[in-house]
Amino acid sequence: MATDDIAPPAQDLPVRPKENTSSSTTQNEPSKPFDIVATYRSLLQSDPEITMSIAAIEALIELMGATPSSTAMELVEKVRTEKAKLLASAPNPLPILAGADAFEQYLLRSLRGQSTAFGSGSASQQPVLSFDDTRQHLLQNRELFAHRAKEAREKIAIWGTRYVSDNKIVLTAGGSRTVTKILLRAAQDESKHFKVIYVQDGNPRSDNAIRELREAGLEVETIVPNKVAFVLGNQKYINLVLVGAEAIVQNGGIVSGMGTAQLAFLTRHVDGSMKRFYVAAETHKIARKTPVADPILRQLGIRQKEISRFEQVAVDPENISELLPEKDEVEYTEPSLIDGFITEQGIMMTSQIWEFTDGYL
Amino acid sequence: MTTETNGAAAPKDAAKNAPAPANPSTAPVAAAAGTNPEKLTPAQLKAKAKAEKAARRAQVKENRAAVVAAEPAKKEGADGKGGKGKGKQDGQPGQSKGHRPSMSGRRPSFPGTEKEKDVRRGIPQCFSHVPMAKRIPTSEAHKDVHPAVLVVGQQMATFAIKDSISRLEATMLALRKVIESYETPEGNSLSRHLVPHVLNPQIEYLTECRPMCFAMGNAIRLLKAKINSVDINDPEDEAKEDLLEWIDTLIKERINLAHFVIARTAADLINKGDNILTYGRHRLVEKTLLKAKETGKEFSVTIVDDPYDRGGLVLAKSLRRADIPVLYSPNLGGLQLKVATATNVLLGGEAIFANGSLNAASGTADVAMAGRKASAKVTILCETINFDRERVSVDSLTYNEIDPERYTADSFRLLFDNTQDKYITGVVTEFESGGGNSPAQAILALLRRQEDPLIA
Amino acid sequence: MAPVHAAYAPSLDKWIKSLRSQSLEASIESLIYLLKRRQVKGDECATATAHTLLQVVARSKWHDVDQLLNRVQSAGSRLARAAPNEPVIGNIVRRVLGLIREEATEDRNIDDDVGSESASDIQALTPVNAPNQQGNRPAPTPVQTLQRAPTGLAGLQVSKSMFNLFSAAGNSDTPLTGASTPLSQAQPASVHALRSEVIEGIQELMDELSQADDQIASFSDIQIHPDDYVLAYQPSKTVERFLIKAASRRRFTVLIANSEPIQPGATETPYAVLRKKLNSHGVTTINLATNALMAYIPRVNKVIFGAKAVYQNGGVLVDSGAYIAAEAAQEFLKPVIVLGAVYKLCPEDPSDETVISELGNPSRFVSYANGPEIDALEIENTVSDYLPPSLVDVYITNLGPQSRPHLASILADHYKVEDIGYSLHESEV
Repeated sequence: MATDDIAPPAQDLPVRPKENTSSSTTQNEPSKPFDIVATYRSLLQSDPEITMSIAAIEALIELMGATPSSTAMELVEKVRTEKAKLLASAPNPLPILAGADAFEQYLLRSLRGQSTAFGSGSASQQPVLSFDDTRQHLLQNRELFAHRAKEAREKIAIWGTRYVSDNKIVLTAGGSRTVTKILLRAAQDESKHFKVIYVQDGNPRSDNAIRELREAGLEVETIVPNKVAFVLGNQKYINLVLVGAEAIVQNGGIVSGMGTAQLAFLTRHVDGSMKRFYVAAETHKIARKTPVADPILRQLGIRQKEISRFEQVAVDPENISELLPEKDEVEYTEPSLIDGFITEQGIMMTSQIWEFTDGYL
Repeated sequence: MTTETNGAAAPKDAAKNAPAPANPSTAPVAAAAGTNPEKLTPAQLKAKAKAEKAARRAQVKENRAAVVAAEPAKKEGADGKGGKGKGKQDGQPGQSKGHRPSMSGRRPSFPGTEKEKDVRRGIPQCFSHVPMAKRIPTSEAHKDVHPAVLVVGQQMATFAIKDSISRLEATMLALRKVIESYETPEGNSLSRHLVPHVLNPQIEYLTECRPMCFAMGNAIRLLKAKINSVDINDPEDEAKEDLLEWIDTLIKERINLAHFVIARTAADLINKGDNILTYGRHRLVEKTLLKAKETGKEFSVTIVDDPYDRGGLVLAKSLRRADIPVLYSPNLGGLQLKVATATNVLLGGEAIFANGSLNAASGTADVAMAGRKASAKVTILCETINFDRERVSVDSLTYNEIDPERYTADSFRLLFDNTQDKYITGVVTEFESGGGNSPAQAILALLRRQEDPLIA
Repeated sequence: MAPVHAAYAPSLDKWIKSLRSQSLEASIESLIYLLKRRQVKGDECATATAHTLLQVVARSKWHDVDQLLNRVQSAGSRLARAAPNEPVIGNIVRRVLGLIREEATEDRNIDDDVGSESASDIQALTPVNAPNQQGNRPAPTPVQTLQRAPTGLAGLQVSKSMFNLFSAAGNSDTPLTGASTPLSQAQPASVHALRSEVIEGIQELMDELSQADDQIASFSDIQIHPDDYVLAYQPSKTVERFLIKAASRRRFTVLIANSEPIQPGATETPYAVLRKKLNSHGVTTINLATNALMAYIPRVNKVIFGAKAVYQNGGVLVDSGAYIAAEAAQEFLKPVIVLGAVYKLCPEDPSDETVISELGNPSRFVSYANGPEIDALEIENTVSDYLPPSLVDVYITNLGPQSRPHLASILADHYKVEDIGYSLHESEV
């Protein structure tokens, strides 16, 4: 049950030498044309903590650097075509879309001379930068953005700690680093003595998370996925079910590792103690997509097996190797099953996700 | 508005007028020979008598309607005797008409009588179909009512005897006395005379005092069937002895033994370290908890009480005396959290219907539902004599009773509520099938098979 | 400090009258005393808080926005701590804080255009208790990185934007001293202007409080239909007004649930005034002497609760015992209507602790003269229940009926993001 957005390792693709893509390098070798996909993958490789969304943003910034002098419109066009290439390269393009979209919208806003902040709060006092300033700003602050993105997880941990209660049990799954951060932070709170039940789904990410939590001295019990309903129905001390997500879609639903929807469904429908289902995720994972019809995942551009291999063989001629490997397969979880989002910008209800993205149209 | 004021005053009057439950048998004498403060002209007397008569008729009618709505036993009795019982019931008011004018002529107007007749007028319209206990001055009771039954009737009307099983036991013991003193008149047979001429007036009186409970209905139905089966040729003494023994067996098996078995079975369901949540005070729950403690189990109890009844406080004291840790909540506030920490919700019932729903003290349904929502096991304790195999109830307004202390718009209260079987995990009865914890439906089926050959 | 004049102010009205004659500190102390004894409770807390903060703004000494915000936060925290189960206190404090921020921003924008500084100035006003922790990371760019690892919610900058990631301003890199606040160097005139603007704002807020019930009531005839049976669970003043307003238009029946028996010695039947008013309009009323409502729900068309507070997620804080009534209503598919003015909307998701209901005073129910068995009893009597959002069908605010998803935008309109994370209970200013 992978519920985070750690990118699958760049598999068979040629990886450029590391020094080439390290933070200091913003230029491609002059001889070769800029390869957005390769840049993106090497960025992911070079930093294990980076999310796919942020890697996409960084890759696009590198693209800007590699596209020296051009008009604003030319640049936007370039960003669009390269973005499309990048999206096409991944069987699960949703996290990339979230990052790349935000980047594109930011550029467009400055082009239109709009403020980049909205909503209430004095943050709306931010200055409006010119297009050139914006470009400079983006190029110069690439590192900062990546840093902020990581910082976001710390903030989520602060908000999330509030939901971890003394003398209670948190049920989690999927190996999300954001969730792990929340739990580790809550563990530092002397006034909170809590336990964790981790759904062990065989995914190495979950195993890592479990190890990390145990190393921090937390009491972690692992259960197999088919024990979830039983535990939810009988363990009265569970009051929080917490997962991460690969992407949040506009209607407040999430796309995340297999098992999430089942966990959310059981949390809502198995009678038992009062418990809530929360998703911990950075706002840069919000993708401007709303799935309205079946098959939802394909609508979102995700290429993975349709339900079962039977169907695959009979109907879908797609090349299996281009699909998400089974362990990375994702699913969609209805907003109605989610009690709220813990983001770096505070707690949001599912209905607020729409408003949030709406503001940047 | 006026009716409300009337209504508000009425219960006080009723309380004053009702004979003390302790010595009800002396009450009629006092009432009859008692105060005669004002002298009335014959014309006034006549007018008054007329008015009273009219009121009484209305009252009887109303009562009958209410009783029919809620009352199992009569119909069953009627079934037992074909159309005859029914005919008898209809004839009953005519009979009383014959007596009462002279009685009221003799007797000065009874202060509050007028209001007493109007009591039901205070009941809000939307609950007007629900029956209510009524204190009948013993002087107004039918002359054929046996003194022992008079006593029980008063005790039931005043709620001195309250729960279904106590009422059942008191009724059976009183009827036992009726049968004991019964002699078949010349030219009649016991099996044809006893029920319509002797038992029915007793039962009607009891029903007027307070709508019969389902256990009483069941027992009386069984008793009537038993009487019907008496052979005309049997010597009367033997037949009576047989009936008396039958009553003793019923009390022994369906009440005493049932209590013992249920308490033992339910106590077995309690584990060390459990937190048992219960509502108000129910005899079986109390017995069970004490039994579990007796067998050395360590557990705690959360009592959720009805602030208008406070039976739970009595239970709390009793459990504390047995050294059981108790958390007492005077009302349903914070129930969500209390059920969330409970392992078992143990509730007692007044009756269980054919559709498996439970009739129990008002508030039981709320607690059962909350328990189920929190996935606590909701276990009902109930003797099988309380099972009604023919009636179904889907809401609390079908079979219920109005609290005679609170029946006006100023303060209204139903005594029972209906718990749908979806909130019930299991029912513990004296039948030890399936570990004693089987759903109501299974028990109903079992009853159907067992009861008739057992008794008839 | 001892509650000096507390004895002379046993009610909200008396306390308000006493404001002029008392020092600010004495007024706050006597209100704290009243709050602790629950002599001021429920909706009154909102009014009392607004009055207090008005006094703080008007009478305390402050020279810049920072100081003013601090004064308000400090007074607000004291009140909130005195009545931890009255979330409206926190709401009013945050509304006033937002008001101050808004007025200050407007002022400054008129005064001068500080540009990029201004955003951080205001944000910096939020107190942060953590010392700066310079990370090991290099600061590679003109914009400073986040230097402060936030340790508490109070330190979180929560401006909501999709583009925070790219923001040109360092989010919280401004020093915390008030030095950068333009108003700190401002002339007395500007302090004076701000003071009167904020006072005006608080007075508007007080108007909002006093009009809320009437505004809510104006939506009553939409919700209540002829011949309805309406169950009102321990009707609050808001619910009373709602019912009475509906009664002027409709004939219906009200079942009033009383969770407690009348106290011995009380002569009046419960809700006598309400019932008299309803009856005079031809509306039938029935007092239900019970708090177990499952039995009555099949008879009822809808259930109305007055909210003590409504949370971001749509969960509602209500009178004790209401949870089970709402649950019963849902079981029988009867709509649950919650009346709650906008000022009762809390800009936060209820924590687990919120859900744990407040313990009440058990002695009202059990006489300790009952003997040793009772002495050994653990008695629990809760004062509030929490309705999870799934049990509520509609919220009627003074701005009209709202559905759950819309609550968030109402919140966004009424609170500043900076104040949301600020916990009044944790802070010890």
